[in-house]
Amino acid sequence: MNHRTGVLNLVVSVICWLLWGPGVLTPVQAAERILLASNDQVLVAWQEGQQGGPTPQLVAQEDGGTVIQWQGNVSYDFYRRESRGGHLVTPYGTGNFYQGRLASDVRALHPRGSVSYLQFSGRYTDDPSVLSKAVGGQLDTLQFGHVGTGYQVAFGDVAANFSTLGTSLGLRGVLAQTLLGKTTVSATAGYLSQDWETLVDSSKRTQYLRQAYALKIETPVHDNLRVFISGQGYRDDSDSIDAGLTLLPTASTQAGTVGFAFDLGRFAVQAEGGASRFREKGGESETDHALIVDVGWLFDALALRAGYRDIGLYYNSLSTQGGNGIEEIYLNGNWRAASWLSVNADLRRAENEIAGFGGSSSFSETNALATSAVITFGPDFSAWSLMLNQSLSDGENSNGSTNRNQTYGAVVSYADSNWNSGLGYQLLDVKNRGSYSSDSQIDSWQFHLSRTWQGYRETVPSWHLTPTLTVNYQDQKLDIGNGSSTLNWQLGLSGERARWGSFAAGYGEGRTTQTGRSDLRQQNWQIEVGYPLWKEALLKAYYSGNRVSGSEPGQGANYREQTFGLHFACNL
Amino acid sequence: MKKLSMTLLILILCSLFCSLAVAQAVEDKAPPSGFSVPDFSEARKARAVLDSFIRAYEAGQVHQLRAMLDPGMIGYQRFIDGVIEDQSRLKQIRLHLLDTQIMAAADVTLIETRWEKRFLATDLRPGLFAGSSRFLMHRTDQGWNLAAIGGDNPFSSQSGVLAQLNLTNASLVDEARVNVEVIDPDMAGSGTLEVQLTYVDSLVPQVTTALALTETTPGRFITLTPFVVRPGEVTLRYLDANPGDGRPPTTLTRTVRVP
Repeated sequence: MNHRTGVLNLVVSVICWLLWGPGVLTPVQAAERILLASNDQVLVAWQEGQQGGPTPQLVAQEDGGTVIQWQGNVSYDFYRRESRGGHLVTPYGTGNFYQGRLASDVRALHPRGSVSYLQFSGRYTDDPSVLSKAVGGQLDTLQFGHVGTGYQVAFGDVAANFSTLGTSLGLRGVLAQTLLGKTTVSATAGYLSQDWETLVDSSKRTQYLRQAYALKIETPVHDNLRVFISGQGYRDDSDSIDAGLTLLPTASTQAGTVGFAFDLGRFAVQAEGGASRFREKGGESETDHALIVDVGWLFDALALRAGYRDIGLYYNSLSTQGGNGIEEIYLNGNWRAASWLSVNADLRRAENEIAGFGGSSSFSETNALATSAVITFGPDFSAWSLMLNQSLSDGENSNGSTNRNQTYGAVVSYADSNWNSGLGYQLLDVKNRGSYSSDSQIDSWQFHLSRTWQGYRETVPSWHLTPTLTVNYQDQKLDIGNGSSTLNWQLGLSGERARWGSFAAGYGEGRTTQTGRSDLRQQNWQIEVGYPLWKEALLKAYYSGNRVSGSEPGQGANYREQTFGLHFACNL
Repeated sequence: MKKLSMTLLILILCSLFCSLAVAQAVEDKAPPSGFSVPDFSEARKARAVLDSFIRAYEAGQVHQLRAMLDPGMIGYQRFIDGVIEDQSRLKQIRLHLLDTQIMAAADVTLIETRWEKRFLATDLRPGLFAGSSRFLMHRTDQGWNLAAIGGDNPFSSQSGVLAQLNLTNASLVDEARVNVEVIDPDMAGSGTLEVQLTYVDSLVPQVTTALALTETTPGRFITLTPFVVRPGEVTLRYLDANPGDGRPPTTLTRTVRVP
């Protein structure tokens, strides 16, 4: 047995052990000896040999036993796409393509309530607009683990969400959480990589492999108060990619945070503070801090939230939720003022620190207010509603110039079981004295209308038919002169009848005009017909396209793309 | 490679044994943990919410985007201002996702993807931004919402996208020259951008010069004419004040050898 087979065998053993407990032999071992196995194990072996046959399921007996549940689905697309225009305007290429997808979720429900699971999904395609490395496959998800009373352990793709300033990210590795008394201990470790393939194949990497770890301990110190402490860090592996493949230098970080959550009926407060030491290759260590506080009050008709964020320019951790150089304070309220009126308001002040060459930095400031109201018109006009909103953001750029963004909007809607319609208006006014070129006022109108006819067999809907009309108009006036306007409309028709299948069709056109230039014409169309082959399987044929034409030779905005193909999907 | 695989494997196995050992010890205790198994169907719902967020961004529905964001999101105002300014600079936005992967936990889902954002500038010339992002989706009582964006932020200029540097040889027979291009969506609308160019050869130990690049389409900055250098190694440095991914400001470098 060579090294690779040995590692594979070990991993399979771990999976088997997690799913069915100790005592199960792996397939490689099974090939070498005669097995004396339980019913469950025989069932599993039978299932593996069926290649997508009927789902096996053991029902728990009165004397206890493990229930195995399995859900899966497969889909396959074969399509032809034709594309013209080039990479700058369309992501698609011309050719015949296919895409196959497979997803599986196996769970073993143990008699004492614990659950073991193995989930994966993946795809294989030759379409580079779906997978950049096509022709090829991608393991979209692979995770397995065990959840029991007071503990869980997960492997593979694990999403660790420990705290806002500490660890909040996905890793390829392990996650374990357990309850020791009333204290929850969470730990994770693994690699951040672009995908599974680049984790095991260094020739496909374009980013450093990042080794990461995190630990969090959380405990209640009172009925209403929980406190936690976390430690985390990462280090880029400088040997993991060839030189020149990335612009970034390798980096490492160690960060620690402490926080609490206090909850007293209608009042709650959460806070977390953190400090980190960040270092890039060739640079000095940068130590910085971060603090967030959130407070919430809940009254009968009013919900208030307030918060403060101060994230240092060089603060760094394993959190996806972080920003850098941000100081922000906000107050947000939802008030149900009357049975017919709901009001939301958001007031905030933000200051952003911006780094410059030579360790210098500058600041920009923003004060903002956003309000909205939803109005209904009582039981006699229950299908009608009106939504109003406005926002104002007033700021100063880092160079001392000012900026101001304003939006105003209104939408009146009608919705009942047959009709759905809405008319909306939005005004965007953008002014930035530090950058005049795109200062403008944009007026937008949107209208949509749909009508549904449907029939019932007894009380179950058996068919429906829905035509739709959508119209959008946008007019932009640039302060430096000129501007453009765009008018789009789209007609659609969709329907479905039980056992017959479904269809959808649509056609839309648009025109963008700008003084001194030729008009840009947009067209889009789509038609698809789906037919249920059997209860859990669907076959669909489709044809769709987009086209932009009329662009002047030097602009290069013209493109055309159309796709027609077959889609098969089946739940297993 | 072998070392890396073995390290990971050992890490996994050690954690497994420790966790199961602890698990056996706590198996009979009361079940207060709330730990639960990830669910594919929930992950698909999270993906659908992200798709509707993308469609609202493409359509310029600022209020709809606000409604889908958590007001407690770090950098909320910078994000919203960036979205509004994008609507003023970019038209007919099309955001295309590829290489998409999903990591699902019980109440959070992480969607990792590469993206390409195609648009028309105000003069109707096409432009293209690209990056890779991690969208953290959080499940609340009202369903899934977008809690945070890691990596490059595709929705909002200002909120952090790693810049791309291109330094190409444009030499003539008797003159060494380079073309410089920086694509940084965070700087869209600023008009000019400052970079440093360093070149060396046997005659001049080291020359470092500041170079102002001109914005052509939003976020794309170039030298309007090739820049004359000495033959030898030429290094372009650009301080990306907001490289995204929660990373502090960093200096990006690109080197090319000019004959």
